Amino acid sequence: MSADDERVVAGLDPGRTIAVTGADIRTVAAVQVKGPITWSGPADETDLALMAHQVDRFLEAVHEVDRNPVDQLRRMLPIEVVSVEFEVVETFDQSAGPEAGARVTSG
Amino acid sequence: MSGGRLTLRDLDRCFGGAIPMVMATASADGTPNVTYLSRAHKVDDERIAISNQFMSKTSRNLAANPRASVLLMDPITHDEYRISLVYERTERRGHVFERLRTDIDVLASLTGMQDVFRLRAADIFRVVDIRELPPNPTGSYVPPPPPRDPVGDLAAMAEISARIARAGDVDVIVDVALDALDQLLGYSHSILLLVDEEGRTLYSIGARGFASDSVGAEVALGEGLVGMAAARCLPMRAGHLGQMTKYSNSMRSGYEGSVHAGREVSLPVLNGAQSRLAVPAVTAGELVGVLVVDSVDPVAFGPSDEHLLSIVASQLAAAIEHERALESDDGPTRPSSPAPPRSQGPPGAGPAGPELVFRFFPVDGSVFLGPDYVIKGVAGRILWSLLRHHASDGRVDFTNKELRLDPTLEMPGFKDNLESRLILLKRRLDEHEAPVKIGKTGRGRFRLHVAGTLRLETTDP
Repeated sequence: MSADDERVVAGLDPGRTIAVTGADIRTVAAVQVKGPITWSGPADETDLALMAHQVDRFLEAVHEVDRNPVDQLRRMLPIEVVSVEFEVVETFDQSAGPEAGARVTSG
Repeated sequence: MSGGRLTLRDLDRCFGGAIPMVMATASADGTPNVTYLSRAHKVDDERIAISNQFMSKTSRNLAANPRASVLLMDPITHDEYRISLVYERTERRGHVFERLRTDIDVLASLTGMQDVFRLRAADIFRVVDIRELPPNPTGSYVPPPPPRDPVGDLAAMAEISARIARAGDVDVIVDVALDALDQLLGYSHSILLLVDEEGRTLYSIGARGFASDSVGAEVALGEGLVGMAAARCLPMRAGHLGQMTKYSNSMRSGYEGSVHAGREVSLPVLNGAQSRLAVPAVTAGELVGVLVVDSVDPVAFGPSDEHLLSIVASQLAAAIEHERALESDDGPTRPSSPAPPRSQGPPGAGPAGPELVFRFFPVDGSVFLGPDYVIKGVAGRILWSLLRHHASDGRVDFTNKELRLDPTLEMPGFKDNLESRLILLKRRLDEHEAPVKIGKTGRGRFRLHVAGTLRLETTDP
């Protein structure tokens, strides 16, 4: 995740709870996962390769759906990144609508 | 920017709803909650408002911990801003609430769900900090377009006013205004709709820049973005329609099975349209119609476009109503000629051109030429009446006032909009290159041109 905001990075201590929300670009269906951080630190080559793959898929999807040029979209990517591992304890349906926030799984 | 410090004024484009924002709150024990929201609204230079529809967890968090953080993105430059907020209050009525309610309604109207989505409250937050996140240097910077030139726009408005003032009838007024919007202000895709006699439906009377049928499309008042602009007599604006529709569809899916969506609107569609602005045309306190502009640019229209088009729409409304008043005050009450000229002989006089088979459905006044739908409603009944007269005695010249006396047209006694219906009929026939046309011969007079021999059939349900 982005390390450009020092306040966020400062809060990534093991044991603290993190929440991560992601959305499907094509449907805007969204999911939020929460749980305690188990480790955070510098991203290694494996992390960066995985991130690069995911970023490419994300940008391609945005371009496909909204026709924004990929080279312009890259402006919003983080410059510095940090690797975070956490245990997913709770999952919520975060799609807009009356069921937003409904728990999907527990434990 | 004021003195290098970012303010909400620097972030205007971020409040257009083009890109969903991200909002983070935390519970009393520090557990974060992150959710997407369609849009934030600037209340003043220090406050923003966020619609509270489904944010139950966010609301609970704010009750325990009033601090929040939102991430906004500029839809053109893709610059990102992180805003730190403190929750101040919740409003359930008033100006801000109404602004947000309209925004929700616009979003809902994109998928016909305006009767279903409901704004519960508007949460007001005070801004305590704005930070621009550093843009990634590997991305390309696109500068925002320059703002409209106010001096040039004023000159254009003066010219448009002059052109509308010189126009002698509704037909010309519509053409002049739509052409001027394109030529002088750059709105190359526009539609003008007028309110029907009963004030329940809008019908398109003219358009520019659309490939498909553009005349005669109908929209119920209150339906969709255009219908809402009419029902509320307020400008309605939406950008990033693809994104907005996705978001609205996402909400809609949460309701499926419990409601039925409204019918689809059949207005002409601009291929790839991403922005739409609809402004009401009002004069003397009455809604006359709605002026609509479309664009493929996802962030095409802003407040200045609302202002410009509102002025043009008001002038259009005043000019159209003036012509209608003139038209209903003069002209003969009987056919203009006791022995009207004939374009062809009466039935039995022999064929003149190809046979033209028209079918009429009294149930809704719809008229078909062969298998092709032509028009319906009041305009359809007018066409059928003219065709019947022509088929029975070869008449070609007619007057508005005799139409008003024709009981088969079911015209309302007050504000019948006959002139507008005739123009709609004329344009519809022209658009379809039909072998039947009507042309104006003077104020309140017109001529029917028939290139063939009529065969008329009535189909009862």
